[in-house]
Amino acid sequence: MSLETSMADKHLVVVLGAGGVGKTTLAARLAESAARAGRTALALAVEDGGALRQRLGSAADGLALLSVPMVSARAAWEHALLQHAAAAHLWQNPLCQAIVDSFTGTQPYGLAAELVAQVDSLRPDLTVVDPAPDEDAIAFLDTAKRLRGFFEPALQRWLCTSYESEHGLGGASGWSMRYVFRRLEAAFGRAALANASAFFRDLTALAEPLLARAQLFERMLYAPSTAILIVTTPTQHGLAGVADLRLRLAAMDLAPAAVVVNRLTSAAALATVTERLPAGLLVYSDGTTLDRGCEARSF
Amino acid sequence: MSEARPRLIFVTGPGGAGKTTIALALARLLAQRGTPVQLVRLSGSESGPPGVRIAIDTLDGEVALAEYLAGVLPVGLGRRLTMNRVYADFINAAPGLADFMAIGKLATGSDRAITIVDGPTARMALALFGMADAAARLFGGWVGTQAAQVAATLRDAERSRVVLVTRADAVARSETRALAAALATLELPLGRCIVNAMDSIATQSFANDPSSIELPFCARDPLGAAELDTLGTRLEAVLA
Repeated sequence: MSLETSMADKHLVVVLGAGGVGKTTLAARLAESAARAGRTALALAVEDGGALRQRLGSAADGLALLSVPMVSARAAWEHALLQHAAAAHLWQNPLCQAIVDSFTGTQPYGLAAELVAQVDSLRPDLTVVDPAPDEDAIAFLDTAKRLRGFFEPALQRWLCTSYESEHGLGGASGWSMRYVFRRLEAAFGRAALANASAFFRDLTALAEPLLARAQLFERMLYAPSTAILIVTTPTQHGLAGVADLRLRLAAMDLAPAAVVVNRLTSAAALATVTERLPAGLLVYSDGTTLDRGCEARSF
Repeated sequence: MSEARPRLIFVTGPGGAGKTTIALALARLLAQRGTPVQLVRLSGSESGPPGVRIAIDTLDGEVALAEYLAGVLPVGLGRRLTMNRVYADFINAAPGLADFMAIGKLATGSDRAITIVDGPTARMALALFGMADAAARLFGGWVGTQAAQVAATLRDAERSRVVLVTRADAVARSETRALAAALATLELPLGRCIVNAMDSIATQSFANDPSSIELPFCARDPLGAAELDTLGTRLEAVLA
């Protein structure tokens, strides 16, 4: 059975792996072949999606393929936040603007929010997601848990111990809190602290819809119709990365549906793969460097 | 040797282009000349082949932040804060905080050794460089002042340099051109561009840029010591 066939009953496929191993090519191929089979397919990537769009190419023209590469973290956040009336004030906050424009680590949240929104509005048969490699991919999968951690009452009490109230009514917190505020003031300046205080207050007001969306995302991720694929090259280093990724996934109660080994060009590489990947794990090669017949090989 | 050299070299580019191999070869080249060199990898960036044994430090922004807090807060309070589960939740969820600490630590590090930063992907590298500017704009106080200093250090061609490693194929080349343009917009000092795997695809010179270094290597299994040294001799221009 080819990889495409075994993905035929899936609604969501997440492609993981290090940079440069062929993740985007695989994502494009899966979306394209689903579209050829008459399923509506949606392909989502971080950054400007240029690489994915390039690989989808003109072959996809005229097929039931909805290619909606993600524009940017900013666009995704704007999309996710501004549908809530309460977010207008938050969006104006200089801290919020800096975070969506310039801070690292916002892409995973943006991608998760965009995924939920796009699937909700387009209802594709298959969605293929190509997150950025490494820590960003883990953060993407872990979005719901991280957001729940952020909106924990204890942390919110902390962040929303209003800076203003510390100045005005003295606040209810003890000396250590006041001390921390003094130090923060010296560190960041009053204006930035006031912005941060307003930012956390406004964000807390959005806890309910943001957490609801995160829960939807989590439900999609853990559904039986979702498959996680790990793409790698047959090097020792690449395969060690697969082992590491599987551990990280296991910690989130997730497991890859299959590993796709690209550039499997020699018998020695095949032996390395057999030795390094556990029996029972479904392994595919990219099918361009080996005979097609080797594709559904399970070691 | 007394020539001025950048003390902070960022090696970045598209995935699988051989960033780690180039970083390793540069580090060996410097070490063999007796220059103190530190090879650093940002935690969370893709890890390259282990290859020839050389100490690679992982710079973890969370650890940098904890060290920093321990330095500015009273001992008990700093420890209580960083041990707190609520603090961990915040660091986990707060975008960019750990990365900001990492880039700050790099830019304010000692001037004695040359630090080679291996492997932030193109997108991550851009975000890292942009973040110092954003923090300088956003914050007053001494954090704002420090962020401005970090941004100035990254821009100073005497002190830092960005080396692009790319592949010869069309996708990688177009990604790298976009990255180079974005880095130029941020006014960051661009060093040589290294085009890898030139033997695998017949292609013209990279953007006809005479400053690019073309290499017949493919990023596959880690190179051995002798191969790394040969590679190093071809990379001398990067340090000039």
